[in-house]
Amino acid sequence: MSDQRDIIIIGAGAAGMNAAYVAAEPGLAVTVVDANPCPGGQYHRRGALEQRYRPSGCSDENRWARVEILSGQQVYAVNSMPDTGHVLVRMRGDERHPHEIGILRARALIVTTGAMDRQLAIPGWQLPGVMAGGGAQSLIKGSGVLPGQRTLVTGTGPFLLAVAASIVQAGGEVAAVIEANAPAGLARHTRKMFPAAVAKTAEAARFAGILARHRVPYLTRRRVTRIAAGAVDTQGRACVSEATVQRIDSQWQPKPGTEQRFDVDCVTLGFGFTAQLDLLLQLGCAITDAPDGGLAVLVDERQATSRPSVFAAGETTGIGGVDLASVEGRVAGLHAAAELTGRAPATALVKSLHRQRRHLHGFATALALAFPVPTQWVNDQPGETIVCRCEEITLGDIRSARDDLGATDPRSIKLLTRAGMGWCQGRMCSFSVEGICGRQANVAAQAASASRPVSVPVPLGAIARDENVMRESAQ
Amino acid sequence: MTNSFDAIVVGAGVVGASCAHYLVEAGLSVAVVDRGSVAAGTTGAGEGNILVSDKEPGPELDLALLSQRLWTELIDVIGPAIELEPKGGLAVGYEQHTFDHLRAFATEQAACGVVATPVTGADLLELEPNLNPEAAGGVFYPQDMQTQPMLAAAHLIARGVRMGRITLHTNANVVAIPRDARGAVTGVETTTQTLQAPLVVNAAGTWGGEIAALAGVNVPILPRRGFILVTEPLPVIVNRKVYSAEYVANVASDDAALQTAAVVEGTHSGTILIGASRERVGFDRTLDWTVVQRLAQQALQLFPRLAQASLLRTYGGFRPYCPDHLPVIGPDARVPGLMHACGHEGAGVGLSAATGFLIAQAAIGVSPLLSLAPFAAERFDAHHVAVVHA
Repeated sequence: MSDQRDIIIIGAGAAGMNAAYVAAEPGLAVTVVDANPCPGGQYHRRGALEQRYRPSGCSDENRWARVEILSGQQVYAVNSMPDTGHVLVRMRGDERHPHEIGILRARALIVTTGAMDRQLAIPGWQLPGVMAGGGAQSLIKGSGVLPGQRTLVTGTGPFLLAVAASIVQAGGEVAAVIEANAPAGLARHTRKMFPAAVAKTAEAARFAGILARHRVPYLTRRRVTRIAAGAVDTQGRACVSEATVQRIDSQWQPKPGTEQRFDVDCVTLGFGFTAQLDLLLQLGCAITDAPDGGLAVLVDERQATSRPSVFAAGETTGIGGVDLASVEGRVAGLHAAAELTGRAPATALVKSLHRQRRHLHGFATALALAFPVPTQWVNDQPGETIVCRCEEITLGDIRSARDDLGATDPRSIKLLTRAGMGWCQGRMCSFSVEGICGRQANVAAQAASASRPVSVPVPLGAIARDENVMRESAQ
Repeated sequence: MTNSFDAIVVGAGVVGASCAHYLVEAGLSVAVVDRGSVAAGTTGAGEGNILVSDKEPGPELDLALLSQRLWTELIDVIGPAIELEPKGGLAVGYEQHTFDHLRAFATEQAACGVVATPVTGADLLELEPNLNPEAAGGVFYPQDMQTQPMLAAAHLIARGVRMGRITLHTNANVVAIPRDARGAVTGVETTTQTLQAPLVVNAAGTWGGEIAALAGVNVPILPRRGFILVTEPLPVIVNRKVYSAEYVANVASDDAALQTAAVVEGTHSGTILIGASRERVGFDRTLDWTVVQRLAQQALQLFPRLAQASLLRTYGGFRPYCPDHLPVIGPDARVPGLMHACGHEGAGVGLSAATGFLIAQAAIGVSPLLSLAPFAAERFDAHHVAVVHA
């Protein structure tokens, strides 16, 4: 089959699948590329045997027949050809087939790569039994496995309720939900309530009801400050046995004497999400700061980025949840298709989508403001806390690079300590490193540390043999 | 805090750090000014080569040999943190004729004091057990070394700071170099403050031409882009710094088009670095996958076992080069108090020690250990080469 497509969508989550469905106009070759074994993304994650994922309102199978879905394909790089304007998408197979690599060309690209859990380096966070809130949910949704027997759910934001509810519904025990902020803060930011907020509030209330029925304590203005391991298990690993929680001030500094200990074998950390911008940064798309303190790709009304024929939707444009991602995906799909067919989308539809997007976006911003993660959280952490797990770099190592060696930004800290140079390419430690830099790193510095020219590792042998590159360079 | 110093070094890369170090050793108080962080420019994009093997006989080789000696002394001063490894270099010729050429080149170098030993067959595989056994032969250069250049720069500066002899100003862009009635420099103005010193050392690497222009003189420095591939951490596959014979020719080439030749070496952390590409494309950072593929192919030709290794990341940077591929080192005869220490192309880490040493000698009026004439900034004036701004 030819390697030429009209529209390529990277990511088969809510944003990507909505985009694909809307973009699949007759005569357009639309392909969705996704790293997971089956479509659905983080929110609609499911076991491979379950029914295939169809976003709500996307039931016309004639449209789906025009959508090609390539699952288990990891995109490691994208770039645009200066002469033709085509975007080249470079893929390798999944973990078992990394040598199978290929290139597709697109006239338009929609990047819907979503977000990953934002990680905070807390003493003991590297222990087996500690996982991100999103990771725990994936485990339950994807394979029906409980993260632990007795779990402490910690972090900030309504997502904690969702994580705790899915654990108890799957039959697990939640020792407590530890919320660092105060949920009352949300009302301050949502005084003018949107319809979107009502649905979201109802969902949160439903989760709260589930937790109340299971008598799960919900403790606010506290955070986990230490996670300790117990005896070595049969596999020689020391797993989580205890977590210490303390009351905190508005800058998240723990108050001495307020320690509270929980006997648990699992701790989930949910401190928000980081948009996966690797591919958009490779293309040189303009980046902006998001209300949650992270980065987002800059898009216009049409979900178009600053680069020609490159669109983005979902969490890459700012963390907003599944409903906003779905609407943004539709807007992106409509406009990407319109750009190629030359036919303007129906005005009424566009207006309605734009209105929904505005409401959901307003709610997302209110959530980000009500559940902030201050950068000072890192100040009181002990120096031996591991920050970069891949390279085993401690907080003390990084402070010393900052104070003694003149490193003032995340990139210099990486160069002088190796924090962020390992297998995960800084995905786990970048938020902590930015915190240690002392001031909110500016957008350019954050983008530099989020930049990854190779998104997933690729075997050198496969790159050397790849005939697509040879053909490309011969052109 | 005083704003008055004996010397100001513009640039906190490895060359600026070395200049600051030797100026302090000579008894001067020094301010180091950088528009970014420490080692954030070309130093932060380098491999950390300290090589004599890739230099043909001439002033640059003399500089490299002096530098090689100084680096072995520096390790005693700043300690093991800079990961200096006297691992030696191995130049490999696949075909008999490239190997013959390498041997002839090594004979010329040996006459200038370079230790170079031709190796073939079993001896070659003993040096590098995973090398492609089809290679005709190689030349081993035990004087070649590797360091972690960012750590080297940072520790050289940090030592002076601890001694109270260096003041470090990061994120400070130099916007003017004021001069007095005689035309002599009086210091630098940054975006935030004015620093005074009778001596200003231009160690701004790729931006050396712009700094020179602020002082009213022409120093033609251009960027030559390079990419480096980094593998996942692996058990030791490569012992030395190993490169193919074409590398030497590429280093000295004037061609603007893309050139690649495999340079493969392991690091302290277990990753393997694969270079080296050279192309003149201005300051464009966009990764070129044609370059990545060529580097991968050439590295696999040297070490077939690397086919299973995963490419983890790449990084790119710009080598600051002058039209005649020699650095600019020493006092500028046109502006009293201005000295240059830039334009080292891809050899800045290696040549930094000698550069700093010679700058310090010039600063205190000692006659330099090597003649600075081949490195004089004014050498370009006769040719009317214009400064090219990026």
